[in-house]
Order: sequence, then C-alpha cells, then structure tokens
Amino acid sequence: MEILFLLIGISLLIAGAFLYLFFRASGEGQFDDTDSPGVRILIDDRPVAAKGQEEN
Amino acid sequence: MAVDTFASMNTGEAPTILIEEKPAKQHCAHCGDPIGTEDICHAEQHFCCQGCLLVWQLFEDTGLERPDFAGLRPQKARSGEFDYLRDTTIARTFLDFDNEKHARVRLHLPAVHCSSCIYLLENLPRLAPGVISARLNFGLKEASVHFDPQAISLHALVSLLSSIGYRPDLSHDHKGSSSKQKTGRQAQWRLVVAAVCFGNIMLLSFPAYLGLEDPELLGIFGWINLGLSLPVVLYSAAPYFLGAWRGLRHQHLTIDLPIALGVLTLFGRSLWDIAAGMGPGYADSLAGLVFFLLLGRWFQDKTFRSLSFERDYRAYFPLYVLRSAGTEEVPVRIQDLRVGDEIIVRHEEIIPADATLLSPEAQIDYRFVTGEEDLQHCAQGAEVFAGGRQQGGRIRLRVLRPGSHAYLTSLWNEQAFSHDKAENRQQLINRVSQYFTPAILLIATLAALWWSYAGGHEPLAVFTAVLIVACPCALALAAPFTHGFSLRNLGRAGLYLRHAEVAEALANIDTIVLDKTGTLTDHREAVARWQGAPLGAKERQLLAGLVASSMHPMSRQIGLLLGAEVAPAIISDFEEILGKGIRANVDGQQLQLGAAAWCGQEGKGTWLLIDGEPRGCFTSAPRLRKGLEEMIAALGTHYRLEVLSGDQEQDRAMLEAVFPAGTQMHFRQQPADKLRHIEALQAAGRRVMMVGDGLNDAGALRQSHVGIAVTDDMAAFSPACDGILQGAQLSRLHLLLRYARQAKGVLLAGFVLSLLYNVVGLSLAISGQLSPLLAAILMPLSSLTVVGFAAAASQYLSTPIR
Repeated sequence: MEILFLLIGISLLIAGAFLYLFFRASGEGQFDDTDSPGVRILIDDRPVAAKGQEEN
Repeated sequence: MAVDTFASMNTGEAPTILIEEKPAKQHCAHCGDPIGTEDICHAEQHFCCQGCLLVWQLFEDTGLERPDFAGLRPQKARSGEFDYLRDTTIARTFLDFDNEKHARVRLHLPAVHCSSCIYLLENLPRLAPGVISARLNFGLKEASVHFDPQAISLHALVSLLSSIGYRPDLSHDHKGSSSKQKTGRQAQWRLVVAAVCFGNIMLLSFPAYLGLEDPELLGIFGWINLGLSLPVVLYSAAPYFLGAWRGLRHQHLTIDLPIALGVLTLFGRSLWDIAAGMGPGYADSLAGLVFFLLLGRWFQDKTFRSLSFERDYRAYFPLYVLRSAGTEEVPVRIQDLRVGDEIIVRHEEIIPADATLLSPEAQIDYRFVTGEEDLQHCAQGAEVFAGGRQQGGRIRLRVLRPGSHAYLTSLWNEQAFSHDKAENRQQLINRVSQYFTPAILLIATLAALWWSYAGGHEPLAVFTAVLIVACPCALALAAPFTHGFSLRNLGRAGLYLRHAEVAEALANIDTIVLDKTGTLTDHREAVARWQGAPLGAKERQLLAGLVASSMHPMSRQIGLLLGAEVAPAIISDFEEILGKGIRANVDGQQLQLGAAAWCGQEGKGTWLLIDGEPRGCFTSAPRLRKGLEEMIAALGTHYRLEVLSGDQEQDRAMLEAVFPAGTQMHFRQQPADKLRHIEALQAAGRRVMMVGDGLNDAGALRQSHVGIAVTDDMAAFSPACDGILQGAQLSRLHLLLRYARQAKGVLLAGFVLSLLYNVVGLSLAISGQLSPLLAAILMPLSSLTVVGFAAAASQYLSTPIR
C-alpha cells in the first residue's frame, strides 16, 4: 500500500504544476482574447517581399 | 407608387407619404452579418466591411493567391478630424512605447465585428509600409500596432484606419480596461483553484464512501483533504467572507452571510471530525460548494467588454480643438480652454464649450444634446452651446464657459451622478436571505436544544449539520444562472445589459418613459416632403440625377421620395457647397438645390431652382421607427407610458396617433427637467425605465431604475446607462421586457426548488442522519437541478426573442 503515498504525491505534484502553468499563462494574457487566435491561424503568414527580413 | 404620391403632392395639406420601404435588411455577401451603417458595394454584392470585401475578392478573383490590397477603396475621411495628431508631442501621449525606430500604440476600433476584420487589420503591414505588425484583440476590439515612426506617423496610421472604415476611438476611457481585466483574472483564478482542489478532494474522498475502513489511511486522506481545502477557504471563498462582512456592516443580511457561515462550519466540522478520527469530514462538499458558487458568478459576469456603459459627456467631446493664436492655429486640449479663447470648429465637428459666434453664420445640429430635430441657424454674436455639431463650413467662436461649466455639462453636477445606483435596487435574493439566515440559525439552535434534552445525538454535531445542509448553494446559484442566461439571450436579441442586477430590475419596472428624438424617431428615416407645384417627369429625372451625386442626408431623402422608377439624368459640372447646397448642369439646364438663403428665398426648407426659377421646397419630417405602433400598443397594456422630449410640440399629433389615449407627453424639456420628472415619478412610488439616446437624457438615464440607451451605431457614443439597445430592436422592446418578466418567474421557481431540497436536507440534519456522503450527494444534486431548470426554462422562453 505504500505505493499509494507515492501516487498521491505525484498526483498532487501534477495538480500543483498545472496550477502554476495556468497562473503563468493567464498572467501573460493568453486567455484574454479567445476569438482572434482561431482566425489568426488561418491567415497566411507569407511575408511580403519588402518586409521579408523583419518577419523572420 | 412613389411617383404618384410625388406628383400629387400639393402645398398646404400634409399628405400621407408612402415611400418604398428599404429593401429587407441586407446581409453581407461574405460573412452573412447584417449590414449596418456602412454598406460597401462591389460587383453587385454588398459587404459589411472592407475586410469582407477583401476576403471575398481573395476567394473569387485570385484563387487564394494574392489579395488585392491595393484595390481597397479608402473613403474620404472627415478632413482634419485627427489633425491634432500631427503635433508630435500630442501624438506621443497616445503611444504606449516609442523610440526612434519603433513605436507601439493600442487603438480601440469600435467598428471591428467579424473575422474578416481580423484578417484585414492583421495584414496592415501589407497595406501601410512602415507598420511592422498589427494584432487585434477581437473581444476588446483593440488593435495593438507596432510601427516605425519614421516611415509612418501616428496621424497617417489613424487616418488610414479611419479611411478603410475602422475609425479609432481615441478617447482615453478605454485605457482603464486593464484594471477591469485584472479583476476578471482574479475571479478566473479563484475558480480554477477551487476546481483543482475540488477534483483532488473528490478522488481522496471516494475511498471512504466506497467502504475503505483502514483508520490510518482514512486519517491521512482526511488531513490531505483538509490541506487541499485550505486554499479554497482562504483564497477562493474570500469574496463571500468579504460580502458577508460588508453586509453586516451595512446591517444587511445578504446571501453571502449564510454561505460564509456554511463554509466556515464545513471547515470547522471537518477539522473536528478528522482530528477526532470520527469520520472523513466534509471537505469534498466544501470544495464543491465553493466551486459551484464561483462557477455561477463567472457565468453571470458575462460582460460585453467592448461596450462602455460608463461614459459621461467627456467621451462625447473631441479631445482637442483648434485654437487660433494670432495667425497660427494650434490644437489644444479641451481641458485647457480658457474663457475668451478663440477657437475654430469645422464641418461636422462638435462645439466643445459654450461660446459666442464670431463668424457671420452657423448651422448647428443640437439633436443629440437637446433633442431638437431641426438645425439651428445662428447669426454672428449668437451664443452657441457645447455639444452642438456644426454643419457647413468652418466657424470661429469665442469661449464663454469652458466645457466642464457649460450649460449642458452642468447636468453632471446633479446629485443623481454622485450616489451609487445599485443601492436603490433591492435584489430578490437578498430579500429572501433576510429571512433565510435567521430562520436557519433558529432551526439549528432548536434542533441542538432538542437533542441536548432528548440525548442520542451530539447537539453541536446537529447544530453544525443544519448549517451545513442549509448552506444555500442551490439558492445562491438560481439567481446567477437565471440572470446569466437572461444577459446572453437579451444580448443576442440586441439589448446589452450592463450586469446581472439590471436583468432583475428590468422585470420590476412599471413605468416606461421614452425620449422622442433619436429614440422614437430616427433621423436617418426622416421623410422629405415636397411643397410646390407637382414636377413633371423630365424634371424629376433631372432632380434624381442631381441628388444621386450628393451624400447629404437631405439628398438621400429626396432620392427616396423620387423612388427607384425615376431614371437619374446624366449631370455635369456638379458642385457641392458645404452648408449651402448643390448645383449642376443637367442637359443644359441649371439646377440648384439648397438652403433657402442660398437660393434667395425666405424661410426654411431646401429649395429647388431650375434655371434660376424657384419651383418649390422640400421639408424634412421625422418619422417614427418601423414597427413602433405594435410595440407601444403591447407595452401600453402592461406599463404606464410617458414621453419626454426636448423638442417643440410639432410632432405631438404623430405621437398621439400611436400612443394609448391619455399618455402624458412633455415637450421642451431641459436635461435637468427630465431628471426631475423621473425623480417625481419615483417619489410617487413608480419604478421607472428610461429609454433615451442623447446627452440630454443622461440625467434621466442615470436617475431611473433602469436606463436604456438606444443607439443605431454600436460604435458611436452613448451616454452612461444600464443597457444599450440597438435602434432596430426597439420595436421588439415589449418582447424583451416580457422575457425579463418571465425570467423573474424562472428565478422564483428556482428558489422554490432549492428550498424544497433544503427541507429534505434539514429534516435529515435535524434527525441527526446527515452523513458526509449524503451531504456530498445532496449539494451537487440540488445545484444541478436548479441550474438545469434555469437553463431549460430560459432556453424555452427565449424562443420569441430570437
């Protein structure tokens, strides 16, 4: 049964890691705009000739 | 039809005019959204924005290869509107960051509405050399643009955006959105912490429910659960403790109090049980309770982030105005205007301060500030008031009173603007909890007394069990979910409410006060009337050719009056003189259409001269919005209706034809009169909803129980209010209000449901049979029932308004 303690410890660690990552992502504003990224992915990101260097 | 009415119109009588209704609402050929104020035609297709046109062309013409950005057809922007941005020091105040090569600015673009807008705006670098990147936050309608200030100035950037249909709103009020966002984030974090702890506690609680009997293991699980519930109590549930404390300090028993009590009892009892080795504790119920409650809050706090409900007159006025200093004209901030300054106001600009007119004449549109439909003609030396919009050429003014002391803006010094509106709205849930908390405490004490007398159960255990089971989770969830659904359903129907409290207040009103100008009438729907001898077919064609070349609203009205059957003649030498009129040569004939004075005539109206010969004049009469008759008749059966207008009485007959007999109508109302009128109604015990649109309604909107601002252009300024209604949806107001009343019924039913669960729970608790397992089942079950009921009922009831 001792394996239980290891498993519980791991599960709590995972939960903690999730919370940490979530706070970090939320703090960076990743959840502020949930509409535009879905459209943005569909936009070609082929650089314009003149702007070529800057976008790479 | 239109031709006949036109030809038969005579002087004297006011004929009933039937004009062709506008074709049914146009939809964008690309995204399918209804087309609003901007209608872009290309290849016989209609589009709602340049972005849609662009993407459509991309699919149609060039097979995904190269959208023709050069093919964008910028419209002529209002000249000089953003001129103050040419001043680099001023421009710099708008930038978030700038150095020699890089600058970053966040621009609020109210016109953003569809995914093509994202496409177009994020491709801004292709459109404007010098822009390095552009990102759009769709929810906030805010573009973050990174550009090279040496290649493109802020002025050029803003003008470009303006010309492709995305006029930035540069008033500073949206800059405060970041603090709003932070509180939103806090709520999100509380919810997530509760969810994570709830999930883990559930896993660790299951073994006990499934028959694990190892006391050592149970003890360990219990302590871990307690540890996990600590962040829930200390962090996630904090708003409830604060709310309960605030309520107590103001001597209100709010719904937060029994929740806070429940949370504390759950935690204390679990601590006691686990420390004494008496059972698994109630940590799972505790975490579940907080999680569900926060979920309800989060659901209810659906906000229309891109709309602003808190604007005062400052947001309506321009930021800068041209001040003439000697021979120079420099932009100055409105706040820096002093008495005696000489300022310049151009066509379509707003007068920023009460002032004397120095130019020979001016035509001022006070529609938005006083409710008068007609333009005011002012002569040199006349006093003009802040908030009016100049029509015609540029005028010079001398400031009499700066903006904050002006005649109109003094309205904001009224008391109504200083006290918090929420205080005079008692929420149903808090009225219920007035009785709920004392009742629960009483039951708990009686039960404890009984068991201490009868023996058999620990009195303290029974006492806490009652508090635990009575913790009003379902009760507290009924309101947020019902209101949350109301906010969403009403929002979909074009009525955007500020927050959930308004949804409830909407159901309780018994009096509706309506403004006339801009609310009941829509100046864009105004109808032209012809006064003079009927025109021949040839002359109508000439006239149609003339007005087709002009964008002026009067030209459009005349065009509508002529109807589509009249083929416009080909015109040449067309000339439009700002504030005067238009003239042209048509087939060798000289046509002139414009203001009476310009045409050498007396009085008002728009005169038509053919070869210098006056033929008659057009007057413009406001028209009620479409479908109002039915709406007003339906409202009349439920509510007391009144009309408050700042205008003269000329439209009384038109209104009386529509409103129920005996409706009170007050005309020539100053902004402060409107506010007083609402106060008087409230003093007589009426719960008043004000429906208005202009700055002169701001006081009444603020004072009323529910203030609804009507707007035709969601991007335009609307005064501070509790809700914003799309102008086109005004005709469905009766349906929206009926839905709000029904939602209140749903809420009451939800209360009854949750109280029924409480009765079951209480009887278990009093008889000492409440086990952690029962509590863990009962609480989520009751909550889910209430939420499910609210969802189903709201969905069903909202069918008529969809």
